[in-house]
Amino acid sequence: MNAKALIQLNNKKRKVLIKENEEYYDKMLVYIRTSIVISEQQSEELLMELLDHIIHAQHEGKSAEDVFGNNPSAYCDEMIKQLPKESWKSGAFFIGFLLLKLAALIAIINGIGSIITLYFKDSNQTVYIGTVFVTFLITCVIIFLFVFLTFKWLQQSVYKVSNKVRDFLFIFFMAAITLLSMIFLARMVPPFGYAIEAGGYVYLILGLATMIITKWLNGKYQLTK
Amino acid sequence: MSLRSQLLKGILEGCILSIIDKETVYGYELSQKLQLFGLNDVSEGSIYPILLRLQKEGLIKGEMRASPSGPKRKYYQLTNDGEKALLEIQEEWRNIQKPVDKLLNRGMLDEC
Repeated sequence: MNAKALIQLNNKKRKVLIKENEEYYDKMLVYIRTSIVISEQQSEELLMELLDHIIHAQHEGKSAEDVFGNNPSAYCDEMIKQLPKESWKSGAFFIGFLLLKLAALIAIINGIGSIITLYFKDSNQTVYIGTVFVTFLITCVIIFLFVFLTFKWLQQSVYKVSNKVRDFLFIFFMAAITLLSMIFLARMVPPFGYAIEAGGYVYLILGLATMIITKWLNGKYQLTK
Repeated sequence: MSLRSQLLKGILEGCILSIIDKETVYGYELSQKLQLFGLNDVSEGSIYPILLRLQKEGLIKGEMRASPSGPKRKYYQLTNDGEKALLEIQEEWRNIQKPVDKLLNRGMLDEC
């Protein structure tokens, strides 16, 4: 049973929990799932065991708190510490897949954008390989940082009393800084590397080709299904 | 962590290995067996961090498979290393059981 099937089964099984147990379990679930470095397969198997245990206990009139104690964050930390890390290979493969998808998307948007602009004015269509590469790299690092920090923040906030104003400000600043740095850093990269007179169509074709490759990869290795 | 729970944790590892040695069990079943043997003080949840550690050390291995009643569960069984570790623990326990018992219960015996 792979991680995706376990997640689906988990979603189904969770429905039998009474409100009190559901709240307790949901927090554990978010806390463990937001630990991104641990093996997804192993953490889903653990989550399924914990859920089964709560369901059994519920039948006997015991609550999740009776079973797992009144300090769930310490309890989860203890388990997270013991869980195996995601293998370097499968992590790199997955991130590589996402980056490829991102590159395809950027190329398609860029392609359509420059085709449309060309209808209205004669714009410079020269592309510098070096610049494109560095800009893409910077964008990737920023997105990676954004995702990583968001997960950390989510995990931190599970067992804290939520504060709507603080949460809003955090999300707002994170998103603003990410967007602004993506726009400005990319523009600061000077043109260098091999220059090609690539029109919007070249972008579009390359982007679409990459998109098809990622679809094929996903179908073959079931990366997101 | 309190001294008491640390003490219990080490011993609990041996008890869990011993139960898994007799038969393959899943998490909830294991906690029920421990209670059945009279370890009522052990909070049920404390078995999961221990099960994870035992897996990490390669003493047990877990496998998802269908249970007799239908749904898939993660069943644990001892590895070769686990069997060796259990023998060692049993040996060590035999060595310290009597002297520790004598020492700790000295007061009680004196009163008799």
